[in-house]
Amino acid sequence: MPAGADVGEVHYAAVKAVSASQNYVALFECTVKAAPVPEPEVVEEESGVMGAVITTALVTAAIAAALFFFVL
Amino acid sequence: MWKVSVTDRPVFAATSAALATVSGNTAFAFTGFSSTTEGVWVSGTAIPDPARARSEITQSFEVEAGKGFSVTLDVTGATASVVPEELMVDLYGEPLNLEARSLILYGEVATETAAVTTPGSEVNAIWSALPTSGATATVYPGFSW
Repeated sequence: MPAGADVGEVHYAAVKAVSASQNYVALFECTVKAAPVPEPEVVEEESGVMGAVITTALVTAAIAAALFFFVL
Repeated sequence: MWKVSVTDRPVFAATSAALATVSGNTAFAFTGFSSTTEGVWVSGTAIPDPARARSEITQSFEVEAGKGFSVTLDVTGATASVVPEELMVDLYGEPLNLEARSLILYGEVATETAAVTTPGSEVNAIWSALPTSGATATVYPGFSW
């Protein structure tokens, strides 16, 4: 199939054969279909590591504060 | 040379298993002339007209641009060839394929005659049509586009 063929373009090819004194013809109708659309790339979160650091810091601060007031 | 082409196609193969195909090939492997999966060939004592076959298409399918399909006929004793483009006409004599948009034969099973390298009597290797004696278990007609 030509690489530059348009979607919907129809092409034909045929083969003839002889077997046991009988003649045959096969006709093949080939229609160009669209290539599958590639799935969009998944964008990774840029702040993934930074977010984890901040979350850890906040949790640690909260625990420290709780212990501080508990001791007082 | 048996065939002269303006391209480097087709690629010949000495056995059917080695038939060269385009990437993403859709294969139709016939082991008879009537199959519920592969399709039905039009038959007759005279050579059936491709125009008649147009109303009884053997296979109608879809392929992406740049990809291809192949047809093999594994029937002992059978011979086969590609119908020339000039015979690919409809009931009104119009060509089935758009002008200059016909499919290029990519691969074909053929008979290889090895080169002779004896000094003084060198002969080039040649490819020729499969013998009219018909197909065997490993060498039978095969074509790819």
